[in-house]
Amino acid sequence: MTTRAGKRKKKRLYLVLTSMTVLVLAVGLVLTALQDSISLFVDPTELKERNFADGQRIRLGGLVAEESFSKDADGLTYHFDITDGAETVSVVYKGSLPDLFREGQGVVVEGSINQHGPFVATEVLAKHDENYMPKEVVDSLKKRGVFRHAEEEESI
Amino acid sequence: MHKFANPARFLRISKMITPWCFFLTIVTMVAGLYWGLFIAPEDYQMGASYRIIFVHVPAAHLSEICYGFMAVASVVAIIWKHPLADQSARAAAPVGAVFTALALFTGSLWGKPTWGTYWIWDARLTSELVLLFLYFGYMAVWEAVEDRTKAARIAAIVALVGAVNLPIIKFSVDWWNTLHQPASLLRAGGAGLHPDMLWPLLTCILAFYLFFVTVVLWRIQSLIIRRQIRGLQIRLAEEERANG
Amino acid sequence: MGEYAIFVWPCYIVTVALLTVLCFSSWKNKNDDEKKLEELKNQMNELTKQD
Repeated sequence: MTTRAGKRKKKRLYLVLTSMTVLVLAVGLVLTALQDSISLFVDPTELKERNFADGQRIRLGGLVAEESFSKDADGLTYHFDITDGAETVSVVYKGSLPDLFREGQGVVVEGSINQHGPFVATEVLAKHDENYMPKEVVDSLKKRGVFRHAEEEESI
Repeated sequence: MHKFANPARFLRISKMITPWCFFLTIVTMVAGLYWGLFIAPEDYQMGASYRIIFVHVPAAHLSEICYGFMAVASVVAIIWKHPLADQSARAAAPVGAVFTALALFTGSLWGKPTWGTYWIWDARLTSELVLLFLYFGYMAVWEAVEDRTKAARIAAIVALVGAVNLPIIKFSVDWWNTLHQPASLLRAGGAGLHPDMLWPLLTCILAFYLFFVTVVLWRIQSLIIRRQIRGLQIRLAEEERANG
Repeated sequence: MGEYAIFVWPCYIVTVALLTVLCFSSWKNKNDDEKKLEELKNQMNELTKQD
């Protein structure tokens, strides 16, 4: 490739390579800088570490702690704990829960910081994991006592 | 390089392939969708609503593959300046836009019963929406710019710049906290699906790939033929002027 | 399918509908272009015969 056309091709190749590298670096820097605002939620550990102002609206994510779920007498107000394995936050929520909501399930709740009591959620979303299994398979696994919820495995 | 990219040769070979691709698309699409909708067992947590993944996952996957294809074609177009590369990228854009729209629509209908919301501005959903606008932007360049050489060059740059979004979509679920779950198929430790669900999903993905190849080949053929038509029209006009 | 039918069916119907429209329109456009090219080629042949 010593022809003039060949040289021009090489020049264009380098131009594409360098401009793409610069672009990727720039976008990478921007995304790193915006890390906190891109993430949808904070986990209980981050919640304790970072100082959020009282009343500030945030999303909190984690697993619904086992045996933490209870319902008030009105049948509409729910209490449960959200845990990431290390830290646990109590949540109170009034409204309807998604079908997938259960203890051990990943959830994302939106609400405001309350430094003197439980986190007051106004919206509860269930997080699905990446595993799909037929009901019969899960039943037989449970019968043999070897079934474990995938998210429980991760948090241990 | 140029030998294979000869438009006339490409037209001849692709015309031999497309009927077969079309036939296989129909077979795999019907089989895959029927399998996913009626035969595959229900999920232990989500019941029947998980059946949406048999259209959602292939659409979302191809929405990225299609843009990747356009980006590669655009690199070839910029460096080797071959019209076939521009035509390939241009032909694929509407197909990719449809896949992206389908991924967003079906994902939203999956989100309501599973998450409890149709839409959330998490990194995965937002970057996929950005992809849809990139497709629209790319297509708009071809419509808006009169001069074809100029349109090709601007479109190729748009395709390349937009390609930065592809790894962001793919890894958004690993880099940031999102509501969207991580990958089930391409992950360390094998697929997170039971084989009874995995096989219909793979069939649907194959069907979408075949659909993509068939339709994009037809659209490239169309663009090549239109170029030939324009050439002939010019020659006809010249002939008529010479005769008249 | 039960209670989830209202979510599952629209997904499949819209997917099949959109893909069919895209597939058919691409094929039809290609065919129309092929026909037009044939016509033009014939015109060209007649013109050159006259010469």
